[in-house]
Amino acid sequence: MKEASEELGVWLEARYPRCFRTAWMLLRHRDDAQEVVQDAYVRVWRFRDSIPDGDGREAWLYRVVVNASLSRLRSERRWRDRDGDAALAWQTAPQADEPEEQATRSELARQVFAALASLPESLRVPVVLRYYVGLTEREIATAIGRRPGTVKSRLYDARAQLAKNSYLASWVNATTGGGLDLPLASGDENEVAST
Amino acid sequence: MITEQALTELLGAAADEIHVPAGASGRAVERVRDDVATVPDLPRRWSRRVVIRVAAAAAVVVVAVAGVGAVIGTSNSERSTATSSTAGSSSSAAAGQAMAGSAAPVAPEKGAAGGTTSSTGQGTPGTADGGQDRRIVKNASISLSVSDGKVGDTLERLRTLAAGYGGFVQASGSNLSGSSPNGTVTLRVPVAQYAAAREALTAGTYGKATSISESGSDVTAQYADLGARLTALQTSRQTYLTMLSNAKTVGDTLAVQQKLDDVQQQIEQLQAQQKLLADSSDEATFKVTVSEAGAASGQPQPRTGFSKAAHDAWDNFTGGLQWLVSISGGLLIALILVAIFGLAGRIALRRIRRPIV
Repeated sequence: MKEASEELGVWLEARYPRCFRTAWMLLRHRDDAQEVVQDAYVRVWRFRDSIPDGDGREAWLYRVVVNASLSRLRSERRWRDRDGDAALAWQTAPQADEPEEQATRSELARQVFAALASLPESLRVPVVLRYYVGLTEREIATAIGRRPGTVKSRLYDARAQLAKNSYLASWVNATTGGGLDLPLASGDENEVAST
Repeated sequence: MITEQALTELLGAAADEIHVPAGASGRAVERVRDDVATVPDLPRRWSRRVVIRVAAAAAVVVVAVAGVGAVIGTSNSERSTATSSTAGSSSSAAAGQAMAGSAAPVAPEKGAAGGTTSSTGQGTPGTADGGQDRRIVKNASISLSVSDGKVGDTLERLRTLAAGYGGFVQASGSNLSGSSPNGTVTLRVPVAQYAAAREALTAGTYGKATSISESGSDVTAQYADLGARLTALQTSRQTYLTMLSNAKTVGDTLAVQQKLDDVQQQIEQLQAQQKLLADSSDEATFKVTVSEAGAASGQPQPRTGFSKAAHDAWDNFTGGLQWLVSISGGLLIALILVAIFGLAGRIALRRIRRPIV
């Protein structure tokens, strides 16, 4: 019994960075993200007897974190008006890479989060849940209380809006050799740069 | 359009740059251990499914209670009869006669009937099954319309009528001034004379009967129950008296005396109730209202044309509703309750499912 608890503690500790980042991208606030993950861990610990085995174990953990984050969003609607300020709480993780490469990574992250910040919350939350957490459209629909078709539509709109960001578009083109389905219009401006 | 794969890679790469507070993971797990060890279990919120099931169960219980209540209410309704008629209607008159004949009470006659009593055989005491005397509390309300200036005279003749049937005037009142003189007199006559008195009042001798309503309530079972309880209590009283005479100590005497007092008090209460029932069933009550024919006595003028059509339509509509309610019994009430609970549940469900974003 004690060994199982120790094993669970080690397992949770190893997943903390991804849980924290998930919560941060949904809440965009460091302290809130830490609190949410803490609450989620308490919940996981209390219900550790019902944790699924195998691959479902990790997915279950992220679902708990996501649900805790969404509950926080639901209970603090007023706070959500401060999205712009919250976005500034982002801090670059220290890296052991070369300074130039680290600068490139940091700039990419800054541009990505700024682009996410430019999205309305109705688009940003599904994007994070789908493309970072890895939930299916149906799971997202259940989580946010919308229909799967609505989620699909919002994801499409979000990708369309993000495609207008020239920095992201050029990064995708450079790294994937054509990750954009459609060429950018010549008049598109870098919306992120101005935020 | 950014492809899904590209966006996944982009977000993954960006997320790696989010600085996770140093040592936060270890502290989080330690705090979890501490919290779980010291804090009681978190209050578990009811899931949506549980809420729906509880609401459905509550609705079923309420509907079941309403249905059972309707059934019990129907089966326990007091045995009573009532007729209401307007003078001149042959069917209502027949009903009144039938009732007067079939529900004739058995209470002992108090005095000799007047000459008019010989005109009918009604009022002959009847017996219930098993030979037990039946006791019926009978009431009637009669409205009489008389010629102008005859209200006072008619009221006086009605008092004489009550005395003639061996009864008396319980109450009377009149307003002989103004444009619509009227008066009311409440007569009590022996129930054996009920049919005869009714016949006399509605025959036209005292005025034209414009409306008649009658009611009869069988209190035989209630009366018999009181009698049985009285007999049992009297037996108990006799037992206590014997015990009292045999009591050896002061304590025993006081204890038995206390019981005896209680029994005596109950006997007196039951006797009073029995006497009230006996009085009510011994004498029928007639409430007679007298008014002038031409006065504004509340008699509506016959409707014609559009007014009549609209009035008839409204009557048919309300009559239809009454018919629906009467034939549906508890079902309609149950359906209404289900609709109310369903609506409330739907609203609650919408609130629970309120989208986050």
